[in-house]
Amino acid sequence: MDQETLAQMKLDYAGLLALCKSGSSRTTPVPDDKLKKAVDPHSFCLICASNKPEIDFYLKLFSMQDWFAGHAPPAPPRGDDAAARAYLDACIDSLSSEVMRRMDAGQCDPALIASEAVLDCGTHFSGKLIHSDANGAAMFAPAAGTTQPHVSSRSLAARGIRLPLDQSKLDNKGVYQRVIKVLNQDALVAQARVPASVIAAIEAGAARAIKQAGQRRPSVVDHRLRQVLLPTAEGYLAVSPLAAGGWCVLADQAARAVEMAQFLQEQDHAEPPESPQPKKKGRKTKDIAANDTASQPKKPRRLFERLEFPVGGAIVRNASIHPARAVQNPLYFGVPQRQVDLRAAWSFVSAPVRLFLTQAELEKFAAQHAQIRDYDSIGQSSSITAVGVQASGALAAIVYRQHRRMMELSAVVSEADYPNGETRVSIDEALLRAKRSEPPSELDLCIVRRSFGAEYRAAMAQAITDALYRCAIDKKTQAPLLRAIDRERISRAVEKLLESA
Amino acid sequence: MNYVTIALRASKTSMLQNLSILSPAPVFAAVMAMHALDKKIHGGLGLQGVGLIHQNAQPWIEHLEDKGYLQSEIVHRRGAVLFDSAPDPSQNSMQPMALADLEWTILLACDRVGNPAEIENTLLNMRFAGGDVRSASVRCFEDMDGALRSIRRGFWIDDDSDVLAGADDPMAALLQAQRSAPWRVPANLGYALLEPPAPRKGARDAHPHAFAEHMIGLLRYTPIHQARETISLANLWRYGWDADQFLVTNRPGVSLSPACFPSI
Repeated sequence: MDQETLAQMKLDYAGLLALCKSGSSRTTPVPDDKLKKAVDPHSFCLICASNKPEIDFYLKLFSMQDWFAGHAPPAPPRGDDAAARAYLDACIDSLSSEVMRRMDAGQCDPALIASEAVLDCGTHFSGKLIHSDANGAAMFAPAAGTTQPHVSSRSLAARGIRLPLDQSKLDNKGVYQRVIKVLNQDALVAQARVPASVIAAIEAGAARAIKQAGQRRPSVVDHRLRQVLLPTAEGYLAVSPLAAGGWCVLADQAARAVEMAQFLQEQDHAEPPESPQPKKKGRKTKDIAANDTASQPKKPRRLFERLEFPVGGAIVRNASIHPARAVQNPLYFGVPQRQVDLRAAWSFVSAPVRLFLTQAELEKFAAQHAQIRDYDSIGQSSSITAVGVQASGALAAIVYRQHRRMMELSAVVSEADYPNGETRVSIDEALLRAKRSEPPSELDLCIVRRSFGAEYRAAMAQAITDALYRCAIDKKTQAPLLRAIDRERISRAVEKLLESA
Repeated sequence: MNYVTIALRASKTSMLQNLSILSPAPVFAAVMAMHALDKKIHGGLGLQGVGLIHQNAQPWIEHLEDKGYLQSEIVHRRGAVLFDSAPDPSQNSMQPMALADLEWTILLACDRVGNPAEIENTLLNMRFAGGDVRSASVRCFEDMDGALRSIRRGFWIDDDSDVLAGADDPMAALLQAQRSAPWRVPANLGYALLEPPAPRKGARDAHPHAFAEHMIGLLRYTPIHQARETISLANLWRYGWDADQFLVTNRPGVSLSPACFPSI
């Protein structure tokens, strides 16, 4: 069919096309590349009807595409919306009665279709949600009891809450997806007027398959799955925790229910207790009314923080049968976080940063220094080997602690605001110069600029060497432990340590 | 009884409790890491219980602006393996991960006296909830009072799962309980087996293997200065089996057995 005829046909059957939209909210139009295959009005209407979810349900579940192509009712007259509706009803009725006829004649067994689909693709827990390439990890929830209060499939089952089924692999023929619609009592099944006997047969078949597959034990555990070792009386047990898409759906529903309950409660409180004033006509009252409704939220607020966690990537059906909004949106629960240390940030504005060495650190350093001094080749040198020996043990511990302190201070300084008169300003270089009597040192500038390169390493080496020279004192003579050669070696060792920190 | 406090900093620890709950509270991993520490130390510590004190957490979550609103986004990383379909590693697919940097203090009650340097060195070579241990400073005490007094700040972590008992819908009860009190956080506190354990090809270290599901319970964070008086040996965290469910808990009155009995 060429473009012009197709465009004309689409105009003629606009009503039918509007009725045959697919998708969960019935907004996806019939795709053009399907319509192009039509040769006459009859096949055009057939393609439209096949796209309607109710009719598509029969075609996919009972593989009736060929039968439907030969037995579809005649095309409705053009431009008649009522006739289009009647045409679709006639399609559904003919499919429904054909399914019943086949079932009575023994040509079609819905129970067998359902049980084969569930045996092939059904599962509760699936390794696909851990890694979409993981195979052979599909387990049904066991019929075991629990006395523990935790939320698990066992405690849910004890309260009569069924875990929604998931898929262990994608069924390309679309049979399993439609069996799931029947099991979940989807509105589509009622709209398709599926006979009650067919629904009962499908449910019985699925239940039989779940029971049968529940006994299934995989012989291999995929290397893509996690394995946790749990201690037992005889040694250890390797356990692979599996995720359940149905669990995600239940959590998502529960979160929405809590949010909706809160929303309804807030609306009840927001309603004025006295009877509303008689409405006056005019622009002014209208504005006030509009403002009143605008201040009230129109949909539930999000009480739970949801983060995007893209399991299965862009194509979620590779991992799970459930929608991305349930599977890829976990709830996030925060824990207490330490407040930013404002005192440290504000005191940094007026005073330069100082290094404090603890007594334990100084004692350990003195012990290290005494050991190094005994070896002439190292104690009297600042060669590469001597620096390498120095850059370890007590000095390394001191350097790492001070470096971490500087990094933390730098992070705090970059986050905190400084109250400068009436306004709050961020802490930067200009503020330090304005507030301090002496210009800020090189180390202070590195911290406020958040630059931790060569300048920072040199400044830290200087600061740490000075601090050690000042604080590491020989207890007998009260003289500094460090000589000029020691200071040079230590300074190089600090830079070396910071390069790899 | 001897007591050890470990001030631990770990980065890149996992926040994933199960697929739909993220929280930077790896309690199960922490208790079992202390079991591993006990086994790795030469001669063993004779671990009797673990106390968990939360200090700080920095989740890997960025707040990005989207149409005037701040949107929280998890920091993901790209896979390391170059695929044929990707021209360069920057096109590699994102690997879903939820990470956090943690600062915890862990209290151990042990039968034997530990050597602080050995404990520290062992910890630095271990993983903590899948993350790297950046630093661990270990102190040993002879009584619990002294050990607790040395911990100046932080939040004592309790198992609060009992509030879920008897609810009509455990899932709804979990979310409502979380909102009804300050600092109640859902977390994975155990695994329930989906099948009896069996030898299986590909199992770790050729141990018997079983597939399992998560058991999501509730934690309660109490400031340590309020909790300090109530802490005793009885409410330290311990682990064990309830039939074929492996649990970590510090609820008094829950009896756990060292052996697994399949119930399916």
